[in-house]
Amino acid sequence: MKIIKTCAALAASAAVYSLTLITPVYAQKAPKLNDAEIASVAVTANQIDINYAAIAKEKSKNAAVLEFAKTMSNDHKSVIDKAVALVTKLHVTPKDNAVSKSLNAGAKKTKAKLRAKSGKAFDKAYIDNEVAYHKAVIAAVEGILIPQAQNAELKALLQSVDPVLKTHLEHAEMVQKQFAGK
Amino acid sequence: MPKWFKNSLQVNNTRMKFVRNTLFLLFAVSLLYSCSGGFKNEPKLYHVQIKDMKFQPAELIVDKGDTVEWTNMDITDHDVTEDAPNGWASAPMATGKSWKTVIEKNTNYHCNIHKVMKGSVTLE
Repeated sequence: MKIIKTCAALAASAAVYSLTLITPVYAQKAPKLNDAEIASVAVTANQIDINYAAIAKEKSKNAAVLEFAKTMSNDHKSVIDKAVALVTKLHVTPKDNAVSKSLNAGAKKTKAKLRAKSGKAFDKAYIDNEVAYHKAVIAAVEGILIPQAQNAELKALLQSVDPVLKTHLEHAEMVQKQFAGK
Repeated sequence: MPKWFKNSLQVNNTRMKFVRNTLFLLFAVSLLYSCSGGFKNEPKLYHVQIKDMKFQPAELIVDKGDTVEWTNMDITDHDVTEDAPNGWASAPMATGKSWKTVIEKNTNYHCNIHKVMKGSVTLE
């Protein structure tokens, strides 16, 4: 049990690292992002979780996991729709940046790991990753994106997304309990 | 005084008494009604906002027969589903949409999309 908790904590730390610390050069401070880059990070982070959910829908037969994946897919799509509507209104074009690139690189590895698993091992890996990923995204939203957002409407959107992410984390942890010790 | 005139006065007097008594009765009844808040409590409408992934207020106390209306103020869809098997449940509500039901008994409920969101309605 202690080992599992340690592994989960390490996974969460690694995810936060990938979100906030692109290279050791940035180890002392968070990356500086403008609104176009923040919009890109927000859309990328949501799309990544939609992609994870798509794999879960494809591979899992567990009702709780499938239900959670459906919620992730719908909620993160809803957030992307709101973000796209806002940047369109603000005439801002999301700009690819080091953080969004790092997110995509990390997601590529995670998807490969998830695809290599099946059955209960997949369900556990998917939910463990959802817990770690949401912890990392919450840390990035609260520690980087909200403080650095310049436009008030973008900041407000990010603030409204924060409780959604926290509810997802709580939901993931609830599902995770059924795999505890397995 | 002619007899027909005397009779006419008596009839008018009886009518006046009737009108006076009726008005007094109506006044007494309306006074009693206003003091008691009505003979029968009219069903009330209560509002619950679904905001920041929470039911606000999460705990509500109502009278039997009152109506509770939930409105989704969040950026994601929500529903309201009674915990009890075969209980009431709304369809998923998009942002800005509402759903209401009449409360007949104590009930706990949740959002079936986000199962960690919970609320209750208790009869007074």
